[in-house]
Amino acid sequence: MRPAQKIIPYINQPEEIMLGVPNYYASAAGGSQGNGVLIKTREGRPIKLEGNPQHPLSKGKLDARGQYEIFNLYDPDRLTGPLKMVGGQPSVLSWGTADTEIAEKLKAARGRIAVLTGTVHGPARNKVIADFCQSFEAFHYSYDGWTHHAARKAQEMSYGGTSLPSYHFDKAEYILCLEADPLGTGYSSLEWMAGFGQNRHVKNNKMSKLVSADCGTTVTASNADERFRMKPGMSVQFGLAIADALQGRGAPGKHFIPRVSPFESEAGLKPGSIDRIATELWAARGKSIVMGGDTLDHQLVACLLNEMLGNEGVTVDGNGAPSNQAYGSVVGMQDLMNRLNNGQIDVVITFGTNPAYSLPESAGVAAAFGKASTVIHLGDRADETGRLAMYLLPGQHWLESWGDAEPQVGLYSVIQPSVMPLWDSRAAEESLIKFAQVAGVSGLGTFVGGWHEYVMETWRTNVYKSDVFAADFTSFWNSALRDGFVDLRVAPTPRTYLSPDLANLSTLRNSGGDLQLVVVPSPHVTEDGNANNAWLLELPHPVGRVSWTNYANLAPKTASKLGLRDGDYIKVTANGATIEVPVHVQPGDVEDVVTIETGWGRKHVGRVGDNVGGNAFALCAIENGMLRTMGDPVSIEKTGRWEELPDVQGHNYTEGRPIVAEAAFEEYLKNPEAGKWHEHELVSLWPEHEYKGNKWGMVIDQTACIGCNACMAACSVENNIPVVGVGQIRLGREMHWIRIDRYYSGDEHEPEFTYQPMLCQHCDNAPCETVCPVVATVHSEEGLNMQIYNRCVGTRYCSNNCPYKVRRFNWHEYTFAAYEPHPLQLVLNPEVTVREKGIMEKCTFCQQRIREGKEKAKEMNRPITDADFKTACQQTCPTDAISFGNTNNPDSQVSQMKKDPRAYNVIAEVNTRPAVTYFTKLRNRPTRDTDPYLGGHDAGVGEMQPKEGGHH
Amino acid sequence: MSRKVLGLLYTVAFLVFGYNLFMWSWSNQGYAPTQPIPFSHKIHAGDNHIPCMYCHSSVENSRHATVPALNVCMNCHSVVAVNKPNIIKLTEAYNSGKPIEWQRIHALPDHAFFSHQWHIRKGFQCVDCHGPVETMDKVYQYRKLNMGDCLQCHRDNGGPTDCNACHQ
Repeated sequence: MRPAQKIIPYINQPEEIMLGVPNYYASAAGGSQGNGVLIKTREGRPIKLEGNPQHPLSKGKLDARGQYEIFNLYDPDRLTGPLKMVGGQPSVLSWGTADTEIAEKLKAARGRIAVLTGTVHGPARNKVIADFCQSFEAFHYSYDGWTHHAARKAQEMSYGGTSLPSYHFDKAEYILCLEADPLGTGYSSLEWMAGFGQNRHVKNNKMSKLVSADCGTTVTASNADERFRMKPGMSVQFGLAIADALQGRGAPGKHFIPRVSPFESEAGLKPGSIDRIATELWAARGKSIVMGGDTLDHQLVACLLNEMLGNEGVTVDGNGAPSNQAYGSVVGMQDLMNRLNNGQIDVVITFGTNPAYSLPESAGVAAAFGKASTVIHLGDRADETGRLAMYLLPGQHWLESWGDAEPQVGLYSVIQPSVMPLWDSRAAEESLIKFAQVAGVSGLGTFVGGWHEYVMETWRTNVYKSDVFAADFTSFWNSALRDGFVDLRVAPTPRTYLSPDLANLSTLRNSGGDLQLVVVPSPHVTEDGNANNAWLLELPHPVGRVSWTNYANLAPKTASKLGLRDGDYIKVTANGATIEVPVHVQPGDVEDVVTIETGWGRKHVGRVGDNVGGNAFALCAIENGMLRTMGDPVSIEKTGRWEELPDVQGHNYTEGRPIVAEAAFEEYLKNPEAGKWHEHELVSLWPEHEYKGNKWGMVIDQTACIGCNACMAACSVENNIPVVGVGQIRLGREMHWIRIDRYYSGDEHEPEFTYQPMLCQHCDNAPCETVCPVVATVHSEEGLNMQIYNRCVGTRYCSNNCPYKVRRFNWHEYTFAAYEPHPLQLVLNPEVTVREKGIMEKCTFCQQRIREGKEKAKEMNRPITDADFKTACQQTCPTDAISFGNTNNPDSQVSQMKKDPRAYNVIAEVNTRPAVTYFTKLRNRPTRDTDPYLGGHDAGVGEMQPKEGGHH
Repeated sequence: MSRKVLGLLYTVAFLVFGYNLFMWSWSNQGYAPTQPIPFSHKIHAGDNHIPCMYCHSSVENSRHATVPALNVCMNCHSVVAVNKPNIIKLTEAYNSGKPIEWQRIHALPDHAFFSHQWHIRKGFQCVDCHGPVETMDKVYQYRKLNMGDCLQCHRDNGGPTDCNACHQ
């Protein structure tokens, strides 16, 4: 007989839980961006995060980091209970003992206490720290690895006040980035991606334009319609030259603008470029955004340009609902360390920040912390900063605890717990209250209740206003929990520009060295527990398509000059520190620049993330209270070690195959089919499929896709996709059902980028179906190409025969990995089979969601519509590049889109008749003489057409 | 080809055939494990006419019919038959907060996704698959519930026969 299984029912079943039916809770992501999320829970455990469609920032979308946040909750390397370091060894202690001991120390150290956190927003989270500090006469410091202090400082100099502005990308028709990366690493990147995406869908023959002046291929730079490559820091002059040209066009106010001409010849730009960009910007005044990079100079120039273009108060919001998303500063951190070194601080309490990792060793964090008699760490793991602590009192993941968020002034969210705490942990704020209560101090110590009550009380006094909300507080609170947010933002007004003196901009940092260092944040990995998130580490870099490590980006010319190639390990030395990272040759990077991303090279984050890559923070110097990340001289030494880069791209060019259709927007306006190939009449030996009911299809707009990887992340969480590890990635055995192919086109040194999400095309003439010897992959009545795991015997014929290379084979038993170590298995989606070794798998068009949609429709006695469900990738796509629906319904959005002149199928010539249609990649720039896709007949690419005799 | 190799091939072919024949007819029909509390469906559903859905309440709204939580048992058994040894055991479990671990009788493989909800809503009766439960003192698996069994019924009743109707 079969193995016995048990059924263990509840004692008292909670009213809202029905086994097998998910519950959704509205909340806000606990990170600094504070995006509104919906938490999908099954049987009391969160299994997926989705954007809250009503939330003004996330608009129903989530980025890759947000999707994978769920794995951080189930990270097996979190602390499982309170610890005290005794003689260098951790020993277990109870919460009661910890509270008593710490309360004594806090009472004794009154006035000599510091609370160090990352960016904190949310009325209750802010107030509890303020109350704690008041009760103990303590100091509060905020510090993040990437502080955005330059932006804050520039705002102060340009407008007074230190608010960081909110940007309205949805209103921006023209975006100029000076070394800025709003789409990849901005402080509100998801909101900006979503806003940006709104104007990338060609409507009424209009689309927005993104121009980037930069020294490296960030996510934003690679998506720029027009890109100006220049040495690090030179984009400051680029901005000033634009300002100069704008003044000639009658931009308001008289500003002193340092003359930087002849800039064009110095920067190697085409003559007239500055003038043209300035003209376009001027035409888009009030409907544009200029963003600066992470130096004060860039930020000051960006402020000036926004002011001249009249964007202030329109697309740039500095006083209506400015951003709270980045408060940290190195200045504060330095102040704290000074006080520590002067013996003015006895007790340090830390959570939500990791200065021991994210400041260079020369900053002396460890030594300064050593001066304190007691360091208390309330974070979720014993990370670099945690290891400096005497007490490790595990905090909670935001999915386990109460909290609140206010990412923009007036936009409030309650963070509500959606699962019982997995470990013997306590929210950091709960601990602060408890310390005060046990110490019996006035103020916070007299508060009756815990953190939950504190959040409610704060909302009652600070957010709820009886004259604004008709309901009483309880109804208000319940509706805030249900909706996930309360929006009390007010519209901005233009601020008064203070005309800061721009004469002393340091402009081009001439380091004198041959090579210059640029350190940038990673779009995925941050300095917290994210670095131990195996799914996130395996997610390839959006631009480099390399996973499992960071690397030194070198331009092709620089690499060949130095005799380096992909995978060569080098020692990078700058500012007295050395790290070892592999080389990645990145076409499009600027010559003689070494670009490295931070977030990697962790010493203590967990079993997955320790010692993966190198810590680029170590290479930076601190200058004027900021991390200097750009332009420092750097030297490179070859180590002789070579390892294949875990690169998932394989091949960077389409080599003339009909994979990516691309065209300049100007060309598209003349001929909507520009960029496409001449298509032949194709005949098939197989009978046509007949679809009587629904026929599912997808359309992907490559113009809107920015390659952010959110779809890959959403797919992995939804479909229980395993992590295979760096060795298997090198063998080309990654398991992602949807991937993003990044192709270069044009000049090798200055290529343009196309991002092409590639997933099972669910072909009508599916090559996989005809070769399976056991009929494990067959066609459904609704056009899905089904993969039946229990029938598959693993011949891999289907994968060999797939021209899109989207089938994934389980080379190893990943189900064990999913069950071990505890509690990772809790994240599995019970609606999707966990596949075993020896089995082929691939995208299913989220058939479990289609079924869910059908059941929803059946419940209402009507046929299923496209609004009943979304595939995981479509739902999360920040730029709405993916559309999905029933192509048998002529009125559906996908049916309409498939008729668009831009629609084409990838390698249609093999006559697979895919269900996935792509839109030509359009770039909003003038046609160039060198454009390969011009001049051929049929608006096709002459050289890409079959030569005489054809090939099919 | 030597006789030995041929013999081996025949053996392998026979074994494969035999295995397939076995799998074809394999099922857990008749499986009737002993439960920690000998709950009698005959007494509850038969003699006392308690509707199935009083206890298996989510069957209409979820994939799972679910075994009821103990508080459902206690709805009646806080006053009914409170002195019987098994009810004392039940009450103790309820009061101690330690759930009862029932033996699962009907189990489909993990790669088969059966939904009670839509079978019930289409008008099928519990007895169609579970048999005369109201007569069972000890519940046993009435039907084969293997893939052939499911498919035959789907064909007979016009249910979907796409693979992904059950496998997802």
